[in-house]
Amino acid sequence: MTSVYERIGGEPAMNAAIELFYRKVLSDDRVNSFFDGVDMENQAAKQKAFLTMATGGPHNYTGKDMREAHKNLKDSEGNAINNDHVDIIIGHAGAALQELGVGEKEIGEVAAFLETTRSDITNS
Amino acid sequence: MSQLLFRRKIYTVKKGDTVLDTLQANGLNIPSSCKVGTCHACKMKIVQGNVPKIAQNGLKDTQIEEGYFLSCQCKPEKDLSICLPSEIEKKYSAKVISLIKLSTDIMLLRVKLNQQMTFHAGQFINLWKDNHTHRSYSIANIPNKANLIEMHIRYMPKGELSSWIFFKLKEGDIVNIQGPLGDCFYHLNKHEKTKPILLAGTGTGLAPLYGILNDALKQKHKGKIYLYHGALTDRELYFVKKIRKLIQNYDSVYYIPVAVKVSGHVTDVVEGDLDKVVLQTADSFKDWNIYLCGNAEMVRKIQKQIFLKGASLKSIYADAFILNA
Repeated sequence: MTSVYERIGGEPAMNAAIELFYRKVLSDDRVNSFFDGVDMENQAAKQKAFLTMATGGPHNYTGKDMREAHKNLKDSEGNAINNDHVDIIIGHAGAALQELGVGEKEIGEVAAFLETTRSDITNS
Repeated sequence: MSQLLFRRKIYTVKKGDTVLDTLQANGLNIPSSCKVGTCHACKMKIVQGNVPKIAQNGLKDTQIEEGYFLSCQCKPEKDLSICLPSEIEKKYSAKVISLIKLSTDIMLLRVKLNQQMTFHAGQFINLWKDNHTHRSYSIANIPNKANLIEMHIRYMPKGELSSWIFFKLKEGDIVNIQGPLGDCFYHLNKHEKTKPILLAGTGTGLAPLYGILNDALKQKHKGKIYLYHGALTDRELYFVKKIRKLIQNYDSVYYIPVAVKVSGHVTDVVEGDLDKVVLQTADSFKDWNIYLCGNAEMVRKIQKQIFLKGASLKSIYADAFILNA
């Protein structure tokens, strides 16, 4: 069976998905302060790498990187990333894919994959 | 099998290997991360030769034009000479032609290169004071037969380079220049010339923007062009008359000087914060090309807001100035 990545249209679709997803995240006051002061282009590239992996595209993911990257992140009130934040991000990823016409089944597969990275992101 | 020339040494690329594989297998420390063409950490630059198209997938149009490619995606078909983006080796000597004060703390420095340099207005060069100290300055003019380069230099209190330029440098002096660098320049092909352009900056961020504006006009850009120059007070604005004169015969080019406090020193200045004024230009910035130069905080602020209003990240060229003493 081909990957979700291939089924939705590969790299060009991923570029479109990332812009939609990143806009949703940056517009959401519940999570956007985690992104204050980051370089937007670098961040978008990382998100693309991550979503590429989540949809089964070509990647070199290691859980350790993910864990390291999120370890010391704090929002504007000093809170670390918790499960609620992860839920919000997964929700935005799903909504972005939905806007691009990706089917429920595929979105479900992506969400299920994202779920497996939860403990790395929350460092639990 | 093809060969790679890198840092004056030749490396043989084994069949099926990438440029990155080859260099790393030879013990060279080349930055990289994802190795699948997504993160762009392994970006390198062509000195001579061509790379397969796939090695430039996902890069900005101006980066492709400048010869950047992703070393992890590049399986060269022919011999190739390359460098890291930070390793531009070409140095030029240049003669100071004129030093003209544009305002109390901004100087127009015009130099003549000893040979032709291929560049785009809006890119930057490193200007060396001696063998140890240099600063980056944007190019404010378009390429010309006389090999002249114009820069706007802002005086920084205790600034090593700007003090030297303001108080020591004189006409006829010879300086060293290295470049060009950067991907902030006009590049639209004939199919894209109807797209609107937004140029916004503070301080000497005007230099690259003024250069890009001139380039766009020379290349007969057809879409609308908005140039915003922001300052704290209108007394800090410069080039106002020059820009108004430049665009007076163009119906679709707008110049909007903006100041937080307006004293009336300059006519027709919009009072307000640059980011807020800029964002009112359109309801959506989808399909716009955006150039942002100057104060880093302002550049990032506008970059973010304009992205949220529909501009694609690939179409936002942000040149955030880091100010050095």
